[in-house]
Amino acid sequence: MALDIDEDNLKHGTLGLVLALVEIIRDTLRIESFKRMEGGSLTDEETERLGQALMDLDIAIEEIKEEQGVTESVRAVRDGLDDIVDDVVDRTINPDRWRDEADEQGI
Amino acid sequence: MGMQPTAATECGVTDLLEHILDKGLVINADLIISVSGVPLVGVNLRAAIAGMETMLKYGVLTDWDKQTRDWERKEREQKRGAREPLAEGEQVLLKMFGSHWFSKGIYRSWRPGHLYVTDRRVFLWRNSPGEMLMDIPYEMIKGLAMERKTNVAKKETDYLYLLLKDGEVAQLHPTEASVVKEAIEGRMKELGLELEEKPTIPSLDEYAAKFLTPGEGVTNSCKMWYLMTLPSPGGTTSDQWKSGYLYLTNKRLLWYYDFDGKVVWETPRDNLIHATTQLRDLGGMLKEKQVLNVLYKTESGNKVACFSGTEDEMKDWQDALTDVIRQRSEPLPEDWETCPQCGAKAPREKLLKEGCSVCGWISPRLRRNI
Repeated sequence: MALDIDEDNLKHGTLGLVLALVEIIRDTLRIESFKRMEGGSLTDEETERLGQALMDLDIAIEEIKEEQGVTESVRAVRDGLDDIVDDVVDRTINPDRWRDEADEQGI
Repeated sequence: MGMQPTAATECGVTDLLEHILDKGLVINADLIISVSGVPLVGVNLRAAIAGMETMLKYGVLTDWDKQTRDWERKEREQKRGAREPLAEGEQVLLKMFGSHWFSKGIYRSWRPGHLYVTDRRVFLWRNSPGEMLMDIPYEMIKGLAMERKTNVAKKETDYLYLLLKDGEVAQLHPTEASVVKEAIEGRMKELGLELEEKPTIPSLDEYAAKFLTPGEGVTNSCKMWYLMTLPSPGGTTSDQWKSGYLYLTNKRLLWYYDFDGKVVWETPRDNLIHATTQLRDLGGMLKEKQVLNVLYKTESGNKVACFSGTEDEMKDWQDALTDVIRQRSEPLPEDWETCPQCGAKAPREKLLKEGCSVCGWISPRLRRNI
């Protein structure tokens, strides 16, 4: 994945990147929060508060994306990052691919 | 060509992070930064990163987790409690700053808050931490009385007494006692409740009224046993425990014997030397009782007076007397201040956060919060 940021798409590029990272953090926090809720150590009130806070964060991020018109850029960055991770993980857990790749490149 | 099975290892950034946090990651690294082959800075890193649930599972950071959540909960409770608890449809007729004299056992102090006169009751509410300091429905009030007294700061102020039907008296010190009195009277008239005309203010402490000298005020008092020396036949003396009341005033420490109706033992505050508690058998059934020994100066040398009461009271008295002795004999401890109104000495934090327990002074900042 290549991220081209120049004078023309400065906003889209940078903001997209930043928001993509924010979204990733949010998603991670959300997953962790579910785990904590399932863990059972939180009180009802804390669960309620946590859910409310995450929802507010969702709304805020969506609003910013709409306002700045960077929904697409964010999507692109996230997809790109996902692909990279997918690729890396795929290669890490399947050593066979190294050989394939080496074969392809004719090494 | 047939269909090819594909490995579904579709894996995004968040999934990766989730896995890492779920399992946890421990980094153990030794690092040396060297210049020209000469090590200059050493770094020994140990880091563990994991989702909180995983951390807790392995017993890491559990105390911290609990503390953080407890702290947050307390903060929220305080904030939530910052609203006075009005019943539905209850209307506030008057709100004023004021304090209420609270007395329970040895603990006596003016507790400041906001005085509310509503269409149903009179109550005093403190915002932070939220607490109802006094709550009296109109039906409980028998009479109102106002008294002009010179407070410890030698200023004349009005005190308002709510005489209750159960014989108790609520002492209030609002900013403007007469306004509060009028508001209560007005509302009780509307409700058709009768108030005693010119009620007599009962002495709040009948015994104390008998021995207090002008300008003397009780700071602590409670029921207390005293080891009295009595003459016995044959010209000898014997010691006997007698029940009475121990008073600490701003001038002296004294024991009042209600059976005889007089002060049997007293010593000026300045003559107190030391106060300790110890366990002693008092004879008969009273084994292993807490005894308060007060060492004091007299013209014929130092003497000891022995008192006994409940365990909690003994501790309180020891503290109270030790305070008296310390305030007199030592320069102020570093974190102590004198109350700007009456000059009593107390830890600075306590003075700023709770106000003066002697005269009811509270700091302007606290006043704003309340």
